[in-house]
Amino acid sequence: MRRSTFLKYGLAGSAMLALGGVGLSLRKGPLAALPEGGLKALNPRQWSTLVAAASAIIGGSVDLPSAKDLNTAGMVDEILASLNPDLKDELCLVLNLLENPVAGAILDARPTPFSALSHDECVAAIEQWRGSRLPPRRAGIRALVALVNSAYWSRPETWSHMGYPGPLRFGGSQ
Amino acid sequence: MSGSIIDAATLTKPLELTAQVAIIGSGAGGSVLAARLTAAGVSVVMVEAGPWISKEDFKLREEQAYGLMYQDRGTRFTGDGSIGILQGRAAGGGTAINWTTCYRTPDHVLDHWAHQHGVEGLTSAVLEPHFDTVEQRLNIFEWPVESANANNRKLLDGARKLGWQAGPTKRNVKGCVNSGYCGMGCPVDGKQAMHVTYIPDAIQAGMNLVVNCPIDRLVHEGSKVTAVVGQAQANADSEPLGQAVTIRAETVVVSGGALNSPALLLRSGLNSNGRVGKRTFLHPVIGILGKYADPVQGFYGAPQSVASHHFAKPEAGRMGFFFEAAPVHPMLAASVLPAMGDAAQKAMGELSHFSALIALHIDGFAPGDDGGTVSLRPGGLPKLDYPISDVFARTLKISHRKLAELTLEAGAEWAMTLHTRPLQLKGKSDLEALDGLAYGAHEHFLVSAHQMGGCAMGRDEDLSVVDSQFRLRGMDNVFVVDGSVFPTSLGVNPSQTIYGLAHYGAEFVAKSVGVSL
Repeated sequence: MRRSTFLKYGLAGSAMLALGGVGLSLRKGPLAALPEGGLKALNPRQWSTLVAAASAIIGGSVDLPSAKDLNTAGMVDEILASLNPDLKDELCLVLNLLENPVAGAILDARPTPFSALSHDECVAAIEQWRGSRLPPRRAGIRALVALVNSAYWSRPETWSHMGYPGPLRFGGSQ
Repeated sequence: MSGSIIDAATLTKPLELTAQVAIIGSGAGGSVLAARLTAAGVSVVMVEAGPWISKEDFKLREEQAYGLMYQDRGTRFTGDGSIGILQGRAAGGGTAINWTTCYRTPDHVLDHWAHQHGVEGLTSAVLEPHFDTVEQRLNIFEWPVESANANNRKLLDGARKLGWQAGPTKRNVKGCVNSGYCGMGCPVDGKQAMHVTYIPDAIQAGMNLVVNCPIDRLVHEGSKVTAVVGQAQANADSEPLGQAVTIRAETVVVSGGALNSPALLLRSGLNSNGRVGKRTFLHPVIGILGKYADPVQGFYGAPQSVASHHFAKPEAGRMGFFFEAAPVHPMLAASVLPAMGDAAQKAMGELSHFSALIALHIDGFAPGDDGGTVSLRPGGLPKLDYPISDVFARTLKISHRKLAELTLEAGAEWAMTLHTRPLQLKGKSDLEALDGLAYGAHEHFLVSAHQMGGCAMGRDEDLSVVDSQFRLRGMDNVFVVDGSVFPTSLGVNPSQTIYGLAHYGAEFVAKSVGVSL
């Protein structure tokens, strides 16, 4: 399935919302605190979805900093801001659809905005997307998981966990 | 008479330049071409969408390198999001960020191009002096096996134990310190990329290079391009455009590489027979991770120094494929690992014990294997649709199995697919389980580091985009000199073929401005 179909799918979600999901559409998740310096690419709703998704994707550990500790969502927001608008919009659409309680109700029996879910429920929602029979959902969540994972594990605070000593040094180029 | 580097992002007023030849793109094709032309006294202006770079810019940090030197900051994908596309965007193009693996064009590929696509004059004998010259300039030589890192040794050991062909590759390096950071810009200028070789040669001989200047379109009247029009842009794609840049030249050469060259021609309305963008090939890549008891440290050491072409020849029902290794750096690994939460933390915790071996699929040779098609996104950037055929899906199943078998044979405690829901294999008895997985788009990791075609060379005026002398069909003063002219993929890493073709193609470009090489 092409991405244009993916976009239509998003529009179809909007149509469903207009037809019968008005009640659900009024349900909003809590807005996450905005990053210092403000948002670069996302709106506050998308940001809240991303913050919840990043926390679910990275998880918790006593040995590792959290996604919040490393400002993973902020890094993703900055990456999105630097992308061509076409690409940025596609990833924003993934966040919109993940958050949307109407799409969640119809496709996943989950009539709750993503950002209003508990940590475990967020993990389950992402897993549902990963196992979806709809290729665009699998592609979309794969892109989001890859962005969050790569932003998090790029940070030097995670290197010792990986046994990665970091870049070699050559004459002060770093 | 030395030329200069002009950073378009710093311009305070529109820039107009003239030259005998304008070259769009500073990668493997454009740079070799520029050096040969300027050495013969031809005046050249080259434009590059990305920034000028030097070793002082390279921080050996992935998050910096992908943003600085990769198309779409490393997030380029095919139209349906199923195949990632790693492609350079900086002075030197792909050579600034490739892993240095070099091969001459295989004879059977040149034969196929001649017999199936009517390409004329491109034989190994004709190309030999050109390959000789670039091999000397770029110091292309066989990398000693004893210098291979443990990741590449796994490939060699596993293949040899199975009785499969494998051996060392050639690399374009001089004074290489085996750091492992080729993909982030060589920190010691050991890699003989274009920005430390042919581009300085050309500038020394008078070429002007304009960087941070994506070209929007070629303005044409009748069968001649009259102007090359771009606009300054700092590296981030979303930043506002700056001053206009216009170049007027007798001859214009498009050297933006696969995807970008066809996109420029499409934006310019130069698609007289409707073939621009067709036959785009990717050598699509899948990967298998292996976990070993001893450290592998796949983040250090030359990323690629061993290859196995044991399965390169296609057989009934499957395409050919070959094996190489990939560097195991944190962001790259994290972006391909399908895991999250505890599973991701556990897997990333074993990063230094991972091998990462890859299978590259040889596309474009079987009848009906037309690869992908480049069209334009609404904003004018290239969009590549690359369908996965039934034959390709069957091949993916076979290549996964063979690569997993090799990884286990090399001594891995377990091998793991990169499916959305990965499968871990703890021994050869587990290989049968691979039959139960799905293969194809959105099922598992797929990426391309070798983009080829889209402006296919050939004899048939209705089927090819350029003729055998690199001239764009329907135009009198436009050439395409880069990997986009390949009518198929290669079955080997493409950089040296592009160097060689550009060195050879310079003769036709020079002739168009009245100079004999």
